[in-house]
Amino acid sequence: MRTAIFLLLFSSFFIGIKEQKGDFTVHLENGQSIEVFAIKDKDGLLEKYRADITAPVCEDRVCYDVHIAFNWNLLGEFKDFEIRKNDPLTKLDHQPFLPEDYQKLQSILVSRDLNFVKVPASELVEKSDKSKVDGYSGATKLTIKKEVIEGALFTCYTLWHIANGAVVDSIKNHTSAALNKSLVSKIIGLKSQTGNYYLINSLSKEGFSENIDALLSVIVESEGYFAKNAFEKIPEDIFVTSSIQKFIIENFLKQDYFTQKAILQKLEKVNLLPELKNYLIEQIEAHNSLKNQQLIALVLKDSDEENFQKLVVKLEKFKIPVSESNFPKLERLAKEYNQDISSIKKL
Amino acid sequence: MKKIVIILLFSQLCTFAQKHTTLFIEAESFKNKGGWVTDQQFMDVMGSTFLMAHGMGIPVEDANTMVNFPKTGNYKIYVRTRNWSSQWSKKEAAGQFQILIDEKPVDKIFGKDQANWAWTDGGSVKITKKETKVSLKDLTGFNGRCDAIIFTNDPDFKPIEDVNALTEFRRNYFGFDKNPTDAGEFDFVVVGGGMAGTCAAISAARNGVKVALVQNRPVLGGNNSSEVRVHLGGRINLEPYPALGNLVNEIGPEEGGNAQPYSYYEDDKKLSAVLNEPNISLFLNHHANSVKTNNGIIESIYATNIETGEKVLFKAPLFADCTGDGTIGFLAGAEFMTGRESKSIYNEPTAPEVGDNLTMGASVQWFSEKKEEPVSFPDIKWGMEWDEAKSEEITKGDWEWETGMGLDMTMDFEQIRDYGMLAVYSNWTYLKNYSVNKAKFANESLTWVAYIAGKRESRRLKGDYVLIEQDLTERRVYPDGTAPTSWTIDLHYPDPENSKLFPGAAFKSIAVHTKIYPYPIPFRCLYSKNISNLMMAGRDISVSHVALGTVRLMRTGGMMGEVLGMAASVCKKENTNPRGLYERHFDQLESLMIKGVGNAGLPFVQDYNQGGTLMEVKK
Repeated sequence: MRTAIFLLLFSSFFIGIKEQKGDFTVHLENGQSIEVFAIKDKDGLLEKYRADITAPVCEDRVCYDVHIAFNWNLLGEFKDFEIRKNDPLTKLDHQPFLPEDYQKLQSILVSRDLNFVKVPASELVEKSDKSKVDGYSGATKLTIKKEVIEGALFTCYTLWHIANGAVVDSIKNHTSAALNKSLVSKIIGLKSQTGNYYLINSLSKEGFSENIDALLSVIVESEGYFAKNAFEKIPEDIFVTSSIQKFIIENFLKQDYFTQKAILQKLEKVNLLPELKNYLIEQIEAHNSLKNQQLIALVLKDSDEENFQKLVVKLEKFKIPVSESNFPKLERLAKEYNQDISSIKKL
Repeated sequence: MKKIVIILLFSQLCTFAQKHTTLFIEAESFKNKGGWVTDQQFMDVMGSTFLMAHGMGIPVEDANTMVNFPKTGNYKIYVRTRNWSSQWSKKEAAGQFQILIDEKPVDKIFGKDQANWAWTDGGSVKITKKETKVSLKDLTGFNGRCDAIIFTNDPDFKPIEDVNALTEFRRNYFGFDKNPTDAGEFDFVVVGGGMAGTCAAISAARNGVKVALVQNRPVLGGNNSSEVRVHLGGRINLEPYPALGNLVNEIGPEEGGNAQPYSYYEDDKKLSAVLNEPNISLFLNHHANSVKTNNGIIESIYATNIETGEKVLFKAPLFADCTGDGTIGFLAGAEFMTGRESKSIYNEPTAPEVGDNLTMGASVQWFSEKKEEPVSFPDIKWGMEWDEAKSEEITKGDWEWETGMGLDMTMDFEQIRDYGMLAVYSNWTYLKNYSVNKAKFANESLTWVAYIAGKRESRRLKGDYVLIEQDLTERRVYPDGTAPTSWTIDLHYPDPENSKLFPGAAFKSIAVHTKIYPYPIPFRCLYSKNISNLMMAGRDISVSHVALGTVRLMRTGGMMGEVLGMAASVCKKENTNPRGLYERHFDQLESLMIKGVGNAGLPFVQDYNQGGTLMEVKK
């Protein structure tokens, strides 16, 4: 590795913390560490995280210390940086960063789509061959050049890895330990996909229970696979409540097919309200699918005579075959309620 | 030699009364091809596979074969060839070669006359031995090409120029069409051995389906093979079927990167995976070019061996078009789409007001290697006019060396590929011989230029549903969603800077990306609307031009293939066609997609070139 990165404990002059130990320490891959401070809002709720950093960086054998402060949000997402007065970042040949360089650095540090950060540091530049006059020796690789600030490749590289490295998980864990209803609301208020995923991956069983109404509101407005993933994460016990079963009746059709299947799966082990059972019979479609069989299974579970008759009518009307696993239950109930099911086929 | 003997017998029978002999020798059937490569990419247009001297500036080793002449004496010689560079330059031709008769060159130099494929009169040669060695001697190293050679002592013989009539002539003389080899009965015939076709075949085989996999190159992998060298792209193991993609992970290369050394593309890994499946019969070097249908159902297909010309017959109740060009669908009369749809068709925000024939192009990638000593490169005269402003001081041409946007990706493909090569050679000759920075390139040697061009777009076969932009951007998910497409909507256009330098003839492209959430492609996009037993996977599925921008990635195509193989097993079990599966048995396909077909226990090695996405990813 041409660039040696040594992180030293940094005494901040610009946030008024001197020689202080942070709320937690993050150990970097090279064995060094940074002190991270949790900053709270006026109500005493976690607001963001901050660390002061000193990182020696070498650009083409010219080394200097980068002094910079980083801010992250509650979820460990890098937000922005601050630079000391009279101590600008510099590029090759000690040229200070221009305003557009700072803008570019900001865009680099928040980006997840960069290729150069995935390359080992030792492979960032073409191999140097000092014995020959060759304009390409030691040059930044072309594909990388487009992504970085010219003359500040290793500064970009080093800072990106600090901003998006081990600190992210540490922040998440710290936030997680402080999660309460107010903080959950605050995270939901961020209206970010990362925040929403963070919640469903972090909340305890009690946390889900306490915040279920807020989470269901998030689900209704969510994009991508969040609704599906959220239903998969919500503990089964919660599906027993009539409030969530009523929510399902009101919102089932607004969900995509795969979310619907996830919901149905969660209902397998809970008792269903009669109105939900009737609603599920209505959802059985002529077009056969796994969802159909899930619906049939749910209706067959503890079905009363009225439900069962409705189901049989539906299956006969649409000529829906019944899966091998559902069929014995169908036969058992047919016998119990003395229903003729001879026209219903087994899959 | 079998072919030559057959011709000879036939010819002798026909010409017994006159005692004349006409010998027709296919160049691709030469016993020893030396450094010449077999090029079948344009055989549906110009009629045949041919041999090409792809030496990247260094004349390739001779190709030769032994020819049995019934009688010695004087013969007229005709060579089917063309001057490929003359459409861009009237200067000395790029690809010139000679014919050697027992090592002695005939007077005529070939490859420097007509621009189009035609017979060049090579004058007369004296044959002194009944068994004579005929060789192709490359003179330039710049893609001289030879389709066939005729020797005749019939003074009235005139070689046939019309492509269809010539094909008929070949059929009659070789007799392969009359007696095609029957490959046997299969449950499922997959045409195209790229990632989509290879995965389709393996997936079907593992689900108990007897498969024939027909591929028109000597290697599997298509654009991801060492012949084209495009790395896999897109994401696998995603919602809603995380097991889809395990097969792509199993057979896909571990290393990413376009235009990298041969070994990066792991051709053998894909081949071994196929050979390990007892249910697959693999037919490499076979180009499917004829389809027999009955009432909207494909009954059989015929493929031509690209080296021997032999015909092979494949019969099955179900077929898959993984050709990338929609070749099987086209031949079967399937409805298809090409170019860009106008906004009025699907109301897509990105569609142009007026539809046109603009497609994304094909890439001719290349690289040079640094040598210990300076390496020269010919100062070619037939290249494009070049100067410092046009010069690209680089040692590798990636995906953006892309040509053919606005041309026909099937009918014009030889021109498209050749223009890609012309651009590479024009730039390189300038760098090596004229550039102000030529010293930097003194030791660089142009060691790899693709001659199999990497195509992005061609015919798209119409299914029961056509996937459009709004499905992706507004995330209209359908219950028959299958393999997820995750790459951005990535549409390519001619590079404006390059277009300024080369008006109307840009050879470089730009990409415009729109990120999406991973989207499960509806099963109804994976089978033909009007050919009831034809499915498709890869870039020729039922999507609009805009939607093609995301589904065209090879990992996505591979997962479509996985789905096709599963669907083939359901069709077999239920004795139905793909539409029947969709309407009545989709639950079975869902179960198979949940289960997956690839080895789930392997380490995940497909973490390169996954592409931007809106989904929440682990950072």
